[in-house]
Amino acid sequence: MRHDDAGKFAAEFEAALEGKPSRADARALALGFRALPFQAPDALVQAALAVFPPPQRSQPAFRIRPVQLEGARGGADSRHMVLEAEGAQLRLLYDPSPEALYIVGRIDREGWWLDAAGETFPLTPGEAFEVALKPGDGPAVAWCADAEIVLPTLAELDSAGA
Amino acid sequence: MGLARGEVDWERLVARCRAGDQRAWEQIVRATSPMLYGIARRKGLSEDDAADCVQAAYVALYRSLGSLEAPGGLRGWLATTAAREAVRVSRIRRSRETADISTLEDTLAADEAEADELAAQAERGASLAAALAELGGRCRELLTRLYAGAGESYQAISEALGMPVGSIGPTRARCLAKLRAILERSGFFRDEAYQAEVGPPL
Repeated sequence: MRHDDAGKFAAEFEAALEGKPSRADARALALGFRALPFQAPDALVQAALAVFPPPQRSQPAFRIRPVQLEGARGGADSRHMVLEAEGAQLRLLYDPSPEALYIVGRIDREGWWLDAAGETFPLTPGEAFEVALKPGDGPAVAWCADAEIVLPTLAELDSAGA
Repeated sequence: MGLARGEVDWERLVARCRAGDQRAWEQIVRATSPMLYGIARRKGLSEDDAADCVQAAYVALYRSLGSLEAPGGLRGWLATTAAREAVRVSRIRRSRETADISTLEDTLAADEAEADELAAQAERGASLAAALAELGGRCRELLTRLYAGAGESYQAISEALGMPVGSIGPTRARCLAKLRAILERSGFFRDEAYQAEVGPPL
């Protein structure tokens, strides 16, 4: 079917809809089909995304310190660490028995997100949150509007002796 | 007033971009790049020229983020920007091949009119694509093959969709009726540019 004859399309639409649409509507529809978007190549999309510069990231004033174990997750072999910065707090709990790293986040201000194992989780201020990372996963990354923090891996937590 | 399903809140996306939100920019790019690429390709540009044309539109947008007067019309703004660039590049390519004896004024006026038409068509196509996406399933597949493809025969469509040839016609009518309902709800037929182009209902 040729695409250069909107009138022919329009007639077909009219016939298909048993004369219900006006000729103008049928012609509009025909023109729309003639102008459907193309699949944009991925390289084009990536180039377009790169036009917008990434946010300036500065090294946040984070510190990691071991703390007393808390709650049901605490156990003789558990490691428990606190990551603190600018009033926000991310709490890490390493429990070696299921070989999983739990990250519990308490977010104190807007704009905090936690990204782990390739997934993104929106967090609202004050919301508690946890995610399990399997050994071998890449490092978890948390970030706020202007800072990025690579959280310790399981091995790093272990060697830290927390 | 809230947005209908499938509608994009361009104004909010622009506001987020102004605040430095890279994700908002990504949403804009993913929502509009097929339309912009379609504009450039339909104008006859090569893949490379089309990619450059689209890139130029996004660079222009980035530079204009702070000064856009009507962010709600972002899609149209991008379409017009890409269309003007496509027409400009196309003219340059043509002038290398043929002796161009038109005056500069004539050329610019013709370019602008053509770009506006290209942009309007592309917006129409993008609106229809959104409606087809909402329609979904076999209806979308059937109508796209019938009207937007390379002209497949009923037999080929029948084999591709596993649908008897005899039921293509009735199915098409039902699908068109559903599509029309979606388009009416979205204001597709009320678009002023449309009415100007297609004229008043007969």
